Amino acid sequence: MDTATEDTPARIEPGAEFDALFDSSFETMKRLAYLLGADDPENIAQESFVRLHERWDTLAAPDRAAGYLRRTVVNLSRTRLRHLRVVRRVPEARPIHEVSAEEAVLAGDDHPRLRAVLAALPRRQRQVIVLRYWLDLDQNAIAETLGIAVGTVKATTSHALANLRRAWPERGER
Amino acid sequence: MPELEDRLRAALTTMAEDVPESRDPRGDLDRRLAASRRSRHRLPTLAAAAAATVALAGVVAPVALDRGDPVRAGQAPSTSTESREDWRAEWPGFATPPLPLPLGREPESGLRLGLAYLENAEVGWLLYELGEPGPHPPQWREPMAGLDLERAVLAPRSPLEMATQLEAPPDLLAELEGLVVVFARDDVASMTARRGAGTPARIPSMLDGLSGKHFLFDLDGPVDGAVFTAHDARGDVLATVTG
Repeated sequence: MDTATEDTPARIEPGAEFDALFDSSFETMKRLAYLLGADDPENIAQESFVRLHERWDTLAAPDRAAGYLRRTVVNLSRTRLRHLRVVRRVPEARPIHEVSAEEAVLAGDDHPRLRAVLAALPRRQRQVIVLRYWLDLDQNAIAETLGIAVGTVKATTSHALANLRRAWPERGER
Repeated sequence: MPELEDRLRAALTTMAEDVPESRDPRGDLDRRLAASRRSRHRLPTLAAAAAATVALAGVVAPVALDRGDPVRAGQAPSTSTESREDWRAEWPGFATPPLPLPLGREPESGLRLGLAYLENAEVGWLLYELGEPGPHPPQWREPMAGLDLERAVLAPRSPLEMATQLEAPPDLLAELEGLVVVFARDDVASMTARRGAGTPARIPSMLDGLSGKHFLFDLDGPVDGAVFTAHDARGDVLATVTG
């Protein structure tokens, strides 16, 4: 299977721009995967950068790299989550980020409460919330990242906020 | 609503800080890239399709269905020309997932099914294991990762090969969405699949060149909720896996 590579076009290795993106974005991408619910955010962030590295010379412009990276993290996190659902049919132990809503309420803390609420949101709503309110992306960037229309982003954000308002009320509203 | 948004931002920031900083992310990346480079040089471009098929089938086929057969459970792969460690080096994405079951060890009991499926221009890969009932509770386990199409389970001259182009036409990708390949060992005589809605999955004719024993299904939609059932030659159910 060691076929010759003579016909393979020379590949442009990513350079300083890739390195700078890695240094500035690795931890952010790892945390993005975590907030999206992945249980192996480090692996997802690493795998995303490997894919970006391999496709660097196919990107039309280096400034598209950040968008490609976000899309890859979102897609890998979604894939990971889907399979976790299968694994957890007979869970060995409850992951820390799957605190039940009841436990969260008893804890009375915003932080664990939000975990439970986020975990209960439909996948697309959770993605939109995290991209908008943690990564501070605008609607166009969210639409590009998720591969959906801007109008869908607006509607999904609205539904997600309505769900959050119900499930995660202000202390005075509880 | 602004109060809610402010609380959301603050809580998400706090949640994100739960994740500790990595100790040597650049070193980890360099190791993965080195493994990827070796793979690229060894399996160039589309010619990699056949090799990838061998590598995948080599891992999955020998472990596909091992229930109640302690002699066979310990057998070495019989359809592969590559060792498992070779395979792991070639596929760096598989090197570090949190595997509850090391790929290099055969289970004492239990059965496994490998699944590959296409979604959003990427081939996903699953390996399920269902433990035997008994002193230990049954468990689902799954080493998995998303795979690039360039490295995917491809058959030369199949429509999937065309999809290896990064700019594959959306209509082609849409056509391939929901395609599922189930790898199984030789003692699986037949398989059926039902979509999440309960209707039987269509069986397409593509991927005829795929190595190893496999069954193809077209779910015409997501793999979520689909049920795959493997039968032996007598028609008895060997395994059921829900996607």
